[in-house]
Amino acid sequence: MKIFRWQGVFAFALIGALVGVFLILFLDGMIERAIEEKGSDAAKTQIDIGSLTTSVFAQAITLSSIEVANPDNNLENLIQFESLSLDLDGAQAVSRKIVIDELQAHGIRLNQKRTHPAQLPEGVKSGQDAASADQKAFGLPGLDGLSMKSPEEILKSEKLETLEAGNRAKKIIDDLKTKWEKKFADDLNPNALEETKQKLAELQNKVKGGGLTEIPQALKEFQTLQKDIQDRVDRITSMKSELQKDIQMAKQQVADLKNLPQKDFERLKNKYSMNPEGGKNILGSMLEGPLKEKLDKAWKAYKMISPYLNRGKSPAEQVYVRGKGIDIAFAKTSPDFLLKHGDLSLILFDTEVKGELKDLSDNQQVYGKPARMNFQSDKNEKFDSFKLNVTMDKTGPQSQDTLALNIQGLNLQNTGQAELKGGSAKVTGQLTIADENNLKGNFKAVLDRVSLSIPEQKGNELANTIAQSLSSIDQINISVGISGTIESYQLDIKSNLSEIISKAIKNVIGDKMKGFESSLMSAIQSQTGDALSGANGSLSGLLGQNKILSNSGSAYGGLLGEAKGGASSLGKSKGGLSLPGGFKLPF
Amino acid sequence: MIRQALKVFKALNSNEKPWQLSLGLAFGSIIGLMPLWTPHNIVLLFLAFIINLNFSLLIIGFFIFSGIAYILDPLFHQIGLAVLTSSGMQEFWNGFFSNSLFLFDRLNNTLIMGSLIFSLISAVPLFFLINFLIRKYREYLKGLLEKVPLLKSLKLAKAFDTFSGGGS
Repeated sequence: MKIFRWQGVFAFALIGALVGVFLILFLDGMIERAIEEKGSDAAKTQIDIGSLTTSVFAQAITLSSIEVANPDNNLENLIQFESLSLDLDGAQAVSRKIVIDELQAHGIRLNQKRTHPAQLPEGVKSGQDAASADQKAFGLPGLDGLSMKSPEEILKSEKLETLEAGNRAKKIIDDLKTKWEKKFADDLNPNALEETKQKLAELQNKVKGGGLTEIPQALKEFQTLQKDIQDRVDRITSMKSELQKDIQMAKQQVADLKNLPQKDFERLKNKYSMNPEGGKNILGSMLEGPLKEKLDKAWKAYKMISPYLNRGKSPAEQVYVRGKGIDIAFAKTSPDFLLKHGDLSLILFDTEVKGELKDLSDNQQVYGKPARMNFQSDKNEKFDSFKLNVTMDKTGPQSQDTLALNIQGLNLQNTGQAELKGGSAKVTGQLTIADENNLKGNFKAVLDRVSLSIPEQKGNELANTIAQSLSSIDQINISVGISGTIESYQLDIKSNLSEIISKAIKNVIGDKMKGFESSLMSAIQSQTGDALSGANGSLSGLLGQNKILSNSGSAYGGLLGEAKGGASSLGKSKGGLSLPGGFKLPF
Repeated sequence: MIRQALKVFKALNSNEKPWQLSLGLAFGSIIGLMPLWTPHNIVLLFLAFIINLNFSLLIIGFFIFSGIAYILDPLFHQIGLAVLTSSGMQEFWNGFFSNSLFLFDRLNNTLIMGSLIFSLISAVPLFFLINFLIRKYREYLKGLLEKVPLLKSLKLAKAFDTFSGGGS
């Protein structure tokens, strides 16, 4: 019996050949599907590939029509490529590493509309919502925000502090009043006063009509009654002091209300009036919203990419899954992913900008070089020059990513902003992101020979007048400072437009604002009048309680005097019974 | 599967050497216990093709031990994890995995390393045990089982198939 069967080699070769033929026929489709499925899962957004062809011998892959959907808007692509060619280092594939020697990316476009909606992960808002949000595009808007609301409209949507504080004060005072009414009912029972009066009268009658033997008993009763009345007077005195405190507090509540209508007026005036200072805020609100929208999108993309470029610092966390196990990472001598060099072609403002990408790796600490990307273009019909340099340096313990932009002579006529009909712009600036979170940046834009055409808004005289004043501007300077962190950042927007808008507003709305202010004040007063008078009324009610207490106090005071008088006259009698004419009996 | 079982039965009663049968099962156990799509399984398959072992037992072994592998999966992971993360072996592994061939084989995966160690160690006693059992079967049971009427009829059916050109 032979140990080996050499015909097995042929059988194995035959099976190998069949597998090879299968792979040649179906490998491209398998890779394409794997990239679409795994890539979509990893990026949490849909990735589509038009076609994919591999060349095993040339170790190259060519892809066409690659689309990466915007996770926030399924009708838009975050980025798309017309074609992508990769020359791979096949030897590295043995070590399960992807090393791309050369990449050619053509027709890169950002934020393009999709022909069909992308399937997005659950919880992501629909394309229509996002698209409508996107329509508030970057640039100079149609001055929608410059229409002036009537005071009645303002008060419908605004909460008045006066109203709230007035109702609150009224409730507090009413509660105090109820408290004191209850106390009076318990402690100052009118029947008790009558009973005491009656008791005193009876005692007095008893003394008048009684004999000498009853004097000690009457004296004792007088003293008991006197003590009883004294207790009540003391109680009333203490209640009086407590009530005074409550009254003081109630008075303070009402006094505090006095200044609130003015405060409400000032707040609403600053918010809704078109005062010259407000012009400065208009520019901020005009630019800040759309800018933040763009920046938020950029931060999201940055956060999505960053972990894949910094495996050295934050290796992917692995969890044991049945049938999969865990890959243990040993001392690495080279990154798992490396793109040595890439030629890029970006379509920006419908013109081609050539670029270069170098040393893009997933572990820069091992590779030792930062990733660099730069785009550059000389004079063409869109701009005189364009330079964009991006460096992602994660070689050190703290990552330092920088973006520097320099656009000279940008033709504003066809930048996609309907309001810009002519002129040129110079845009320069730099943004640094330290430790993938801390932002520091400043961008400046100088727009020369600007021709703005802002659509007329029917019935909005103010907006139209400002639009008219903007249409005659020759130069606009805008500077945007960015600071803070990606989660919470601040934009500091400055521009000469602020002055221009303020001036226009001053001219147009001076008189209008006076009328607006007086009608706003009247509206506030009429809306808060009830609350204020209610609080005052409640205070009067509480003051009325004070009167009741005072009356009661004086009544008991009188009774106490009488009781004291009665007791003292009896006390004197103890030393000798008084006789008319001042005579005294000797016993 | 029934056909494979009958083939096994036939092999047990054939003139094939016990080592051919037991080696087939041992190979089947190694391939079955390890994750299927690993490069070293291709090497094992190549060896199985050129070594004169019983292929039916290899396939039967593969299916049986694939099921066992699913149950023992956490154990394989633990073995692989212990071996790969052992502090005394880090220097060795660093050198070992500097050879890209071993990385390509994904031996740095806990499941692959654990199942490889387990299957290689268990394959040796399995080989000798099966060898021993086949010898004993042929010595004591073969003659008795051939007298069972059902098995006789199966034999007749097989003979008919062969004669009429059907069957495998």
